[in-house]
Amino acid sequence: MSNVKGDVAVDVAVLEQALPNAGLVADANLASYAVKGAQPLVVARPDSIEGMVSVLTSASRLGAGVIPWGGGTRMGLGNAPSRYHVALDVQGLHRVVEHRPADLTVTVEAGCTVQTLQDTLRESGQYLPIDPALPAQATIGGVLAMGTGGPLSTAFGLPRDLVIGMQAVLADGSMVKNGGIVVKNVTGYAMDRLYIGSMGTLAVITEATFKVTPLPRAEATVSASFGSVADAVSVCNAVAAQGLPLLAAEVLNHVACTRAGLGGNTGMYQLFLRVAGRSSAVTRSVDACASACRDHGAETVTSMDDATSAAIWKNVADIGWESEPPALALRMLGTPAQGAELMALAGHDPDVSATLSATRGVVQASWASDATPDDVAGYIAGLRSSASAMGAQVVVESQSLLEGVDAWGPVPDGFAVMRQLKEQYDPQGLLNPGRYVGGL
Amino acid sequence: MEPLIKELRQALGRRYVMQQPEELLVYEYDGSVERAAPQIVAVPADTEQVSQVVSVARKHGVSVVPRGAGTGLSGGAIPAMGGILMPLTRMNRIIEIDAEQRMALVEPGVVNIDISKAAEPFGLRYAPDPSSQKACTIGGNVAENAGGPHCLAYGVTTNHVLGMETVLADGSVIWVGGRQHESIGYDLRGVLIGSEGTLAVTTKVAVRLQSLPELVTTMLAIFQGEDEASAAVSAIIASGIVPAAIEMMDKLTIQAVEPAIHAGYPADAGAVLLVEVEGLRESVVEEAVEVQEICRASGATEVRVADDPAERERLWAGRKTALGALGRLAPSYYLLDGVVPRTRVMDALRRIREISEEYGLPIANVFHAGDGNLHPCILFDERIEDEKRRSKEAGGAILRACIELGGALSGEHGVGLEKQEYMDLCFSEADLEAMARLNPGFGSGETFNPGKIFPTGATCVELLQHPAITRLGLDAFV
Ligand SMILES: Cc1cc2nc3c(=O)[nH]c(=O)nc-3n(C[C@H](O)[C@H](O)[C@H](O)COP(=O)(O)OP(=O)(O)OC[C@H]3O[C@@H](n4cnc5c(N)ncnc54)[C@H](O)[C@@H]3O)c2cc1C
Repeated sequence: MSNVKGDVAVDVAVLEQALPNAGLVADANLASYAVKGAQPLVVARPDSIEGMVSVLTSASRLGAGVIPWGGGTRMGLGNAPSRYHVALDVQGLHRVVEHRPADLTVTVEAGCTVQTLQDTLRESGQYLPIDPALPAQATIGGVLAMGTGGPLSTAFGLPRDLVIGMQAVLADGSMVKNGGIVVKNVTGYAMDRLYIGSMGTLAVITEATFKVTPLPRAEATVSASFGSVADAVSVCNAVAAQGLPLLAAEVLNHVACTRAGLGGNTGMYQLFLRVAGRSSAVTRSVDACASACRDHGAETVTSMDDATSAAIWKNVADIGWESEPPALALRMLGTPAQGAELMALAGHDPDVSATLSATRGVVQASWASDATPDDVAGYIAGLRSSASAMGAQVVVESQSLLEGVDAWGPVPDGFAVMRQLKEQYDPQGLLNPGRYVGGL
Repeated sequence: MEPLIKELRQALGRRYVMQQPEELLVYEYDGSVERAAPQIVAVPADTEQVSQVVSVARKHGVSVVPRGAGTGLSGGAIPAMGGILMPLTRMNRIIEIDAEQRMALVEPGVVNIDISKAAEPFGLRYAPDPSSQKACTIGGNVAENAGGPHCLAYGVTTNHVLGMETVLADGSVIWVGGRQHESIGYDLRGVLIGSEGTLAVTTKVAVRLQSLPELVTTMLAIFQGEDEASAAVSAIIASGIVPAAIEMMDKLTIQAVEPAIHAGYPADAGAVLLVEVEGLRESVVEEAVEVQEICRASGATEVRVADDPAERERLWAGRKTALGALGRLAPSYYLLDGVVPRTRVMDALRRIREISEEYGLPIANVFHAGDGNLHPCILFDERIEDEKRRSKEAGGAILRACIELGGALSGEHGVGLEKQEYMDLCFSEADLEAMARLNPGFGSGETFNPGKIFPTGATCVELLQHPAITRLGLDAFV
């Protein structure tokens, strides 16, 4: 067989023949692996790195389009795939490989869910400070492929900031590693940074090593309602300036509050500040947060500790994803200074559930299926033009195809380099073809 | 050469393009063991001039080596293949401090500590603090993904840089990352940080600033031996405390330092730990007590504690003068940078002792113990050919030992020229090949800093590290 891309028509029989050792799933429910209406021809679920290498080697030989799947919580993201032959389910690789509590490091396979990892770490009084939505389904590989942050990013940075080592398989099937199990390492280029946030378009992440953090001894959440987002944001800046141990700071509109079961009054914005540390420091931080809230005109201020506090943040992380994937979700990215303005843009619609990560300038907005704007394309175009006038971006997430809507909007600065990198790492365009920004 | 010089002078002005051997001399060295002369030194004043230098160089098929303060310890700023050396030191403006958004926008030639100085009136600082922070530039920090004593709690350069303005090999200027905390597309920022000036030139840097801690407490614990001190490090981490810094000095270092600063270290002290905790007053007070208890339980014979700035500075004095003091023990030293999992520090120090005996050369250790980042310092006399050879071999043996213990070749100094021949100790051919693809990805070709990072099969250049570090002045420390 001559092995040039496109030489062989990719069909089920060819794939089944080419992927004998790669964990092909017999009688797979192909519909459950659909991406924006496109279904794969086969589903492979290798349970070893060798199997993973084998799938990608064969796929690249055949020129087959591959979409890696983690927990599937964010498969509504991105544009429709231009080619889709193999659904590569990474969840066959789901082990916590090695937790070294005394080193504060953990190595975990990409298909492990965030929840499973956190449960393992908790036994040693530690955790990985990431808090994506739906932790029981979201996998580590998926979180890294997306690269986006959650509320805890306020204190700990993005997921990439916690990664110290990575194993991945490139589109041609070569297995590569960088970093290691040491917390400080500048040996060679930081390849993991390239794969993290690339949405699985450059490599399939198969394993990652993280630095982990001791669980705080105590935590608390201070909550207050404000008539304006700007006031709530000012509180966050004031709290941050005092050097208080602020883990998260989110502003919720009343729809988001209601959906998260956290009360909420129409027209008001609810601020949630999460602090953690030693109980003496937490006690003082709660007081300081509460008085900052009152100084900025908060109407009611409440505080909750430990278990209650932690429970709130589980709900906050899941906002928009409480029951089923939202019909439409937006992620608006601005500077911290633009957060309030972006929130105001998104919050116009009375049906939108909107949250702002107050010190990070990231807004998430979502709509339930019975409540999406009438003219979605027009609505998004309007938002985008306001956002781009500020230099901000609007990312669109939706399970179904939205006519006339690009998921990413204009390409970012440096796009020419990104395209050249795609050309280098996935020259055949096999991984997640067409889904990422500008068709990367 | 003539047309090239002419075009560069047109772009930068006559003064800022040098080619006389005596003018080039100071640019042959950095802080490392290496040495090589550029043909031309071109010193741009702004991004546009950087872009012009790069374009002119590209047109003439000459390479450009960006340079900051030249404090690098792996030969990153050495023009290994000649060409144009481009110091960014004229570009040293702090463009903006945005206190409310807690960020600063600076030019690449700004000296690390000057960012924190400019931020201090706002109650802020730039966290990564390489020991060379009074001299090294933020551009060099970005290129090396520099660390420092206080990176234990706060992370290294990559965790604090929001974005950079960058000149690519075709002379185009792009921003990678920026004021936004999240952006769309590949993380070019993250890839360029730590790329040792081989892919692009940094012309502006947006960094995150953090609040100054309310209280800082420094503790100096004296131990009979390195094993006890190493055990204390592990015990502190295991207790759930993450200090801002945990630094260690071994017996040889203590013996060198004591006559210099009269810190009152006991004659039989085998190791000293410096532990710093900081943050809210309430937690610092409690953590300091616990750290002292842990140190004593691990065998500390004495723990000194300070929380006013002058006293704290006195506790740090030994640590900060160690390098200079070691310089007095031998005519030359070779300062290494290796890293192991922090629980293997004890094993690493044991292996280093064995290597010291095996090669017949004293090796001192003064390092960032909390994150397992070793800085063995091999003492030798470079006038004795055999000692010189042994020092290199001992260095290689130490790096191998780090890898065997689950560690890596470099915690913070980079690969550069120094460690390129060791790269295949920790990377497969496929790993290196994947790294090499970044170059065509960025379209860099041979334009920037050629001959670095990747193995060439050649042997190392001359050992000249000691004089280079001495130039940094007596208060230089690693
Ligand atoms: C006494 C001493 C103590 C030290 N302590 C530490 C420490 O604690 N932690 C640590 O991490 N390092 C330490 N170092 C090493 C060194 O200071 C750092 O690597 C520092 O980041 C180098 O900065 P520089 O401005 O001197 O860069 P240079 O040495 O001039 O250059 C280093 C590299 O950066 C590249 N470069 C410089 N500027 C740019 C730019 N604008 N764009 C692109 N590439 C550029 C160069 O090409 C080169 O590859 C120490 C060095 C000494 C001598």
